[in-house]
Amino acid sequence: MSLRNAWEAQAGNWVRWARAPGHDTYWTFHRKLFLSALPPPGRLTLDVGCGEGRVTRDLRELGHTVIGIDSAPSMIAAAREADPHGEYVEADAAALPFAGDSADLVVAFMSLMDMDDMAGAACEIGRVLEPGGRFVAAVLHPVNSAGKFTSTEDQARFRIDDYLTQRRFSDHLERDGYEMTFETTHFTLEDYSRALEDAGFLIEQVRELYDDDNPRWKRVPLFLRWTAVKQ
Amino acid sequence: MSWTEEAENWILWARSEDDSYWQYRDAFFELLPAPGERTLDVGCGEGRVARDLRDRRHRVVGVDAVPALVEAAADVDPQGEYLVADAADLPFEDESFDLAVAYNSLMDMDDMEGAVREVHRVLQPGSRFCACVTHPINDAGGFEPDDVGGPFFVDTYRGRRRYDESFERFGRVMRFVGWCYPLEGYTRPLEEAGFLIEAIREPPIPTARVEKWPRGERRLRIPNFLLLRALKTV
Repeated sequence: MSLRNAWEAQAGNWVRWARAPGHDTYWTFHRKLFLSALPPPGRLTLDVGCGEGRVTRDLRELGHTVIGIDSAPSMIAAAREADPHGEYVEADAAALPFAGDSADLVVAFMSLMDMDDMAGAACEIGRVLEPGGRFVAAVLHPVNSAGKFTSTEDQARFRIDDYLTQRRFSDHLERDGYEMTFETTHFTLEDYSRALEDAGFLIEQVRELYDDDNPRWKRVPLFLRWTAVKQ
Repeated sequence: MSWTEEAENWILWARSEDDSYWQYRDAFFELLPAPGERTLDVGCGEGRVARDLRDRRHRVVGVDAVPALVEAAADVDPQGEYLVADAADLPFEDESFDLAVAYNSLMDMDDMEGAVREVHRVLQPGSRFCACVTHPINDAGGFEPDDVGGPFFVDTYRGRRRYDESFERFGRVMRFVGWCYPLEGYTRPLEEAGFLIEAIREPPIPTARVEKWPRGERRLRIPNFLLLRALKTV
């Protein structure tokens, strides 16, 4: 099953998971860190892999003229329902329905590793961004997607069998009455770097994000974020 | 100043064919731009990288803070240019190089941030800084069991941590002292100095090496080194 179809099948679970107040790290810390890393609103912001639309809605609140894009029809339907005046487009990130140089900011919040063609998406993002435009992305940290903690204990060690091999995997989580199967890809740092290089980007900033309130994830990074500039 | 005490051990170690340098140097040189006017090798040690650069038509100046290592470099390459200098206080004019390299030296410096600032200062706009460092994953844990196929375990990846490990080879014990950094420990000083990162590489060990040395199998799974190429913008 393609990743697109896997996420389409999980759309109902994802809408409940993503919208439950305080339920995931978006609400506890990641939203604040991500939004504060963005440049101020400009001409047009694209939110690639917008899912049910929480980041897009937050961007509009911050004054961005924003279009949310996702390849899963049920995600786009959920995003429109929650935000009837917002603009949401069903499209493949590797074939964006926008002209070249049409945006000055593209964000991809926790979506690149869930795409069937991550490198193709990076190329398309490079194409639609004007020179000097920024691409800000948060992804599963490659250390995170490479392994697992050996237990739920505070001092648990993190086991990695193979970091260097790119691979698809799924992770089923149940928490506080919500459940979700994350279908995703382990990419190495070099995989992301090469995709950005090939798309004409230079990396301005790299940040590794931890959960300071979690004894395990304050030692091992959960997320990686970068700001890249289009040449 | 441990690298001064270990200079004699390091010269033997670095020049022996067992060292990992010979497995990874091709990946490093592949990342470098074509030779220009003048290349700086920061933390050149006994000089093997500077000699390899010379053989690849670079005009190289090697600097190292340890006099015994600089002396060893000059001994085997009398035509080469080698200087004793602190990387965080380079004795060069602004914009006097068009390429700088640091091969497995940044993590062993007392003031890495200061060194990166100095490298930026002495580079011309539009030129590159290429570095090889211990991969942050490799610095965050170890293989257990320590044999072929063994998984890798991380305790703490985050933050700057002291590195102090001794290894035995040729009947001598060599002590390596330096720092362990996460990825951001390298990218942040580059950003703050004014570099943009062009390329990141995590080369696996060459498979030909694993055929001769089965223990190397782990280096097809867990990277030993991280390579970075950064650009000083115009």
